[in-house]
Amino acid sequence: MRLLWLEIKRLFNSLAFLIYSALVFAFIVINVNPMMNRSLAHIPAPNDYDSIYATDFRTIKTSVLDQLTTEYTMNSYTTYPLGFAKTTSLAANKRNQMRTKIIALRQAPNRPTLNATLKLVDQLLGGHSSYTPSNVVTLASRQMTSREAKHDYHLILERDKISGAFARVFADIATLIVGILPTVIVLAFCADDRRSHAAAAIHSKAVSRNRRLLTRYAASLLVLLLPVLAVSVYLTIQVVSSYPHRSLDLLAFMKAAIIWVLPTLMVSSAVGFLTYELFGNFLGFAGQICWWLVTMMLGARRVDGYYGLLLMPRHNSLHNVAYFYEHLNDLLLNRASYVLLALIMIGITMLIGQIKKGGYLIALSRH
Amino acid sequence: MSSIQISNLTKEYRKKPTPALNHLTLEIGNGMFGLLGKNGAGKSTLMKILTTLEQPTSGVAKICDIPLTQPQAVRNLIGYLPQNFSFYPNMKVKAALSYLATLANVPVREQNGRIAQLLDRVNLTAKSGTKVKALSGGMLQRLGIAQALINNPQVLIVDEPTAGLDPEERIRLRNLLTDFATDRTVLLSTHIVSDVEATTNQIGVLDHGQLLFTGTTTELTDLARGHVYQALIPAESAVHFKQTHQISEQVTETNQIHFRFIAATTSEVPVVPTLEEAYLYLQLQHEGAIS
Repeated sequence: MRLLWLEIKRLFNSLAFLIYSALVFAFIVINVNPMMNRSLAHIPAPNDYDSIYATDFRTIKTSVLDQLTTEYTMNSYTTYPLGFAKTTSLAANKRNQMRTKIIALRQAPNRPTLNATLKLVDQLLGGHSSYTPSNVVTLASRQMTSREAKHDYHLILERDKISGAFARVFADIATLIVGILPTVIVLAFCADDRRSHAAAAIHSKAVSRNRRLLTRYAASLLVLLLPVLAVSVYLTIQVVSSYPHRSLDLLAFMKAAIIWVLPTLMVSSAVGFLTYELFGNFLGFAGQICWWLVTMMLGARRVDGYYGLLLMPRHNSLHNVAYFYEHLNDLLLNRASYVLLALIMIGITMLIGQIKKGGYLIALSRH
Repeated sequence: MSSIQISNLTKEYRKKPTPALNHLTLEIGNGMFGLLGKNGAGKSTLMKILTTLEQPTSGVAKICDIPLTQPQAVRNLIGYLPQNFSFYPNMKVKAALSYLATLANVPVREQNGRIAQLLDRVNLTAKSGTKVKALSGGMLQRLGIAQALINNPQVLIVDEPTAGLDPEERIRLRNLLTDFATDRTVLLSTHIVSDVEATTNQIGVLDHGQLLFTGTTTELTDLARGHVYQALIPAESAVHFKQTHQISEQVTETNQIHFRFIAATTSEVPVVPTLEEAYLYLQLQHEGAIS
């Protein structure tokens, strides 16, 4: 515990942490504040109903056909390899095939038939299009009905207790920043040993390499989560002052920080430790930037509710609450998977450390 | 009983044609032991292996009968002052020692007392609240010794501790090391012969990963006896003389130069070799420069 405390102090007192805290605090507050000003105390007026993605067959079919016909007419299709938009044109023979597919889609009697044809459309476009069975819902955005809006409002009041709705937006924004910055902070933290010529003295001490790594990892998580927790307290106070006579979940932001944000932080921090052990430089940050960008681009297609396998699950909306509760298990599975991934990365870091130090067989014999 | 036992130790690095350590065998008892060698002789590699920072390719080494294959146990027995020691620049001296004491598994309740005692011994008490980056080179080395002794080790391993220090600090540091060697083993690795000469009579000479000599300083100078000469050479002949002899010292005296040189045999009368000349003789002999 003493070592953990000393590592926490060392990271906490660093200039890197000061800059990190300022960036995290500013990024979250600037992006969440506009949402905080919206009132969730009353059901929205009919014109202010939020948009949601339709899940019914008829709406999806109509939306798909509208979009595909437009793209077919212009012979200009947008696909999203690794989340980045790319425009594609089809050659004459493939255009003919596409026309056949559009006719087949028009005649599709049900969702399975539609999905089967959509797969062929996606293949014709080289993959990564909006026409995969799982992506087509993004084409079917529409305004909520009055019944849906009332249900949404009911969930915000009863299950979210208002603060939960704000906490989702907070978590959405916070994961974006902790998905990238901790990597560079951890890399700087690791590089400090070598840069200060302290590595040999430290490594010759009795505490094992693995214990040192685990302690530093724990310290990085505790310290780098602090600004996120600070914002969560700040936002909780804001919600309490805005809704003085409402029943609120006072721990909503805190829960979001720990259950939603922390797994992303665990991964971005573990990437720092792992890549520093591997390369001994800041190269890992470049890798993390790539991962972050791809996740951002993938998530950008459905920012108001998309969890899947994203490192940074998206829910940049105070509404779409039914979607959240329907997919809560997916989100929890996503978060648990990233916790596991982070721990695996730390395990690999330990193994690489042993291999680098003394050869493969010795490393294996000790694990 | 030997504190450090090294048997047939070899260390090879990938992409390097010759081993950094080549079947090294050496026993070191209590007190100060000086390990002399040129830069690249393998001294630092040996230090790193003995401190368990690296692992040998083959061979065995033990610290106080504990094999290096038990790194945790070995680290509890050793203190290490690495070459070019420094620490986190913004950390204060006392905090740095506290951090390293924790890493050395020194119980928290003992840390304050031990740190105060060590700071006193290395004359850094007044600097306990100073940031590491504000310390001079000599102070930094003294901090390095304090941190190496934080776990009260039985074996202290110091790698080139006087490099870059001014004469006053160098002498101070050597005296400190000698003091610490009274009740433990101190392995001093250096390429500066005067450091060894001033601190110990037990030495080893390492070159290209091989141990050329181990014994006392007197035994080393005895080896060179009869192979060190002096001559007074006119200034105009000095260039030629230097090209044909292994010079160990030259002093200009008006129009003549007084040379001391190393040779297998010559017609000159031999002089008593210094330790530095004996060391040079050994190196030259190993390289085949003299027979």
